[in-house]
Amino acid sequence: MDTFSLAIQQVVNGLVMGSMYALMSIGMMLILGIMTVINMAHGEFYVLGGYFCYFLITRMGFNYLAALPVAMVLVAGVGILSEKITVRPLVGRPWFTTFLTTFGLSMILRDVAQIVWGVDPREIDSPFLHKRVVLGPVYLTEHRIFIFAMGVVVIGILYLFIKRHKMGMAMRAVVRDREASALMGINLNAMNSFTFALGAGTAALAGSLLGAIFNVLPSMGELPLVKGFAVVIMGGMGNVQGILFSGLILGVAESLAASFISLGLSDAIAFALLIVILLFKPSGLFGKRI
Amino acid sequence: MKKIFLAWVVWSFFPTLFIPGGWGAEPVKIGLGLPLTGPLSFMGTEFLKGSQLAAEEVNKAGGILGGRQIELVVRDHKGIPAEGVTLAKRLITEDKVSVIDVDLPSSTNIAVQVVSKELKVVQISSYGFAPDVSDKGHPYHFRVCTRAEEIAKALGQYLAALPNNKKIAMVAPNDDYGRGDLGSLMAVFKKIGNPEVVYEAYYERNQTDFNTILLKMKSLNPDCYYINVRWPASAIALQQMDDLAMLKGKYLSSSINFFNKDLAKRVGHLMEGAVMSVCWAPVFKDPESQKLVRAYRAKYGDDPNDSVSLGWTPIMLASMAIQKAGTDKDEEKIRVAMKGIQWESPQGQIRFDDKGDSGVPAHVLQYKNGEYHLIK
Repeated sequence: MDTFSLAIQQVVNGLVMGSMYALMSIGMMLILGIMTVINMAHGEFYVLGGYFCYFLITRMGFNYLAALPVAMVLVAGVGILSEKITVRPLVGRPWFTTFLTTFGLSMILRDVAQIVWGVDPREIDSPFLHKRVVLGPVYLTEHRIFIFAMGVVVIGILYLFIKRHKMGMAMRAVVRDREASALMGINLNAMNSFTFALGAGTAALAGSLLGAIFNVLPSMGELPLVKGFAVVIMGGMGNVQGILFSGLILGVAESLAASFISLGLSDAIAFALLIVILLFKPSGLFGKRI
Repeated sequence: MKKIFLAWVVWSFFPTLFIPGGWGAEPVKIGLGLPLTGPLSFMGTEFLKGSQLAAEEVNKAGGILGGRQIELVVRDHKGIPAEGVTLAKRLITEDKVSVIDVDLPSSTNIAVQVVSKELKVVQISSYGFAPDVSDKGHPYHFRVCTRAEEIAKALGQYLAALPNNKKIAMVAPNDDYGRGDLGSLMAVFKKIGNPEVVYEAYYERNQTDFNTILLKMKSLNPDCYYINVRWPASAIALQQMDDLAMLKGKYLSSSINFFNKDLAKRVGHLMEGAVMSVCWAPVFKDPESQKLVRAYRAKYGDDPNDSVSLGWTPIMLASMAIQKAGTDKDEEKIRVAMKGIQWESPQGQIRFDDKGDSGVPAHVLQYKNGEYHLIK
């Protein structure tokens, strides 16, 4: 494999991972933008998505494609419960209060997952795993193509939803002016619950998709949480397209850095890129309100 | 009345004439710290099986120190060295064990030595191959498994002699064990002059995405891959290699991590022809190996693996040392007794040198036609 072929392969690899970073980040961006909450439990929604998907397939007899949406709905339910218990009572308090409560929530969710499923990795069986697809110098599996497609499609649907649907417009209104929105009749509590559910659901989808390749572990949400925040900052608050492109850029930067500079420094290099971007464009690459 | 009372006294004590000396006496405690949860849990739980089996065998044969039973005190450190240090202290100061074996990975063996040195308690390392496990010098520490250099020599010499094996790409865990392993292998290849190491990489503890590493390896077109990845990540790594069409026409090698029936069950079709270095295999014919195999088959209906054997040996050895010392309380006597032991263990002849190394050799297996075969 020559250098050019390796670069193309790593770019493709990076795009697949990047689509998942974007999917992870979109929920974080919505929660942060609409509720001004830094949700430290977002990584655990990602993990729970993987575990629920595993549970539905191995215990309930679901096939993989049916388990995906059900896992999303189940984790969305966990998201609604989380919002009611850890966030709603603290509305109006300083941001670090909800930061701490969501951090505590993440610890609780992780421990519960560990108690229920143990610490050993769980395998998710996907019908697309290990079916090789060769496109010139690039080797992929059907599952990785499926992951990328799902990421782009779901983010696309979310973009259209926020842009065109009544609920999406309501979300944009709340971001613009929370008090005015309430005066106009938007139920803020319902909006908050819906936002948390949407965020948790998209994180769960990312966990279910990647869990099939990498197995499901209680600690697998740590790095996606950090990268998710990086993508939100890089993409710019309130910009769905920005989140998608930033996720893809981060994924590709990581892969190329690991391959051509240093494996051990790939994360450092990717985050250094984030810092450089913010130095030149503090509002993010695509910083613009929705 | 007096006669009835006398009869009752005799009747009460009569059965004790048939009870071996030591029954009801305080057990002899041996402390084990293992990763029973976490990424190394497979090796930890297999090791524990071997230890429990050895303790049962010693107890069935009448125990030690006049019939006292061996009791294993087991704690889980999850494969985290800092937790290993904490539980080592607990084993010694709270559980009052006579000997400790806190193992897996090598970083944990090394970290715990601070405790065993300070508290002057005999520490056995049975699953720590990294050179630093014994190279730093510690009078109370005894390594019963082989060293990474011996493993590297056995496997490295075999790989170097393979036809058309000119280039090798390697990956190992990013810890003392993994770095020691690759370092030792590279030293062997350098000495022999073949093969050329075109890539070395280290993966993180919980890592399961090997795509970037594997793509880089593939781009360098080596003749041989050395994939020292722990279970269950090893299955994922092999599957990802297959996804990238890396396996065809290449030599595949690994460490003890490939000697795993679960791995063979899951991805055995991808391992065909793979060679691996091991400390022990059930095909060994010596009396102690066969004793272990028989005991394991009787209890579990299957053959033991390398990890089981590495759990068996320290308990047997600790029992011998305590018996020879004549006490389970005097650590200096236990240390001296351990130092002087010469025993034909399943892994080979144990005779400790000044560093506390046992001197046992390593071996090479090959996975072929669904089975593991001893080739060196």
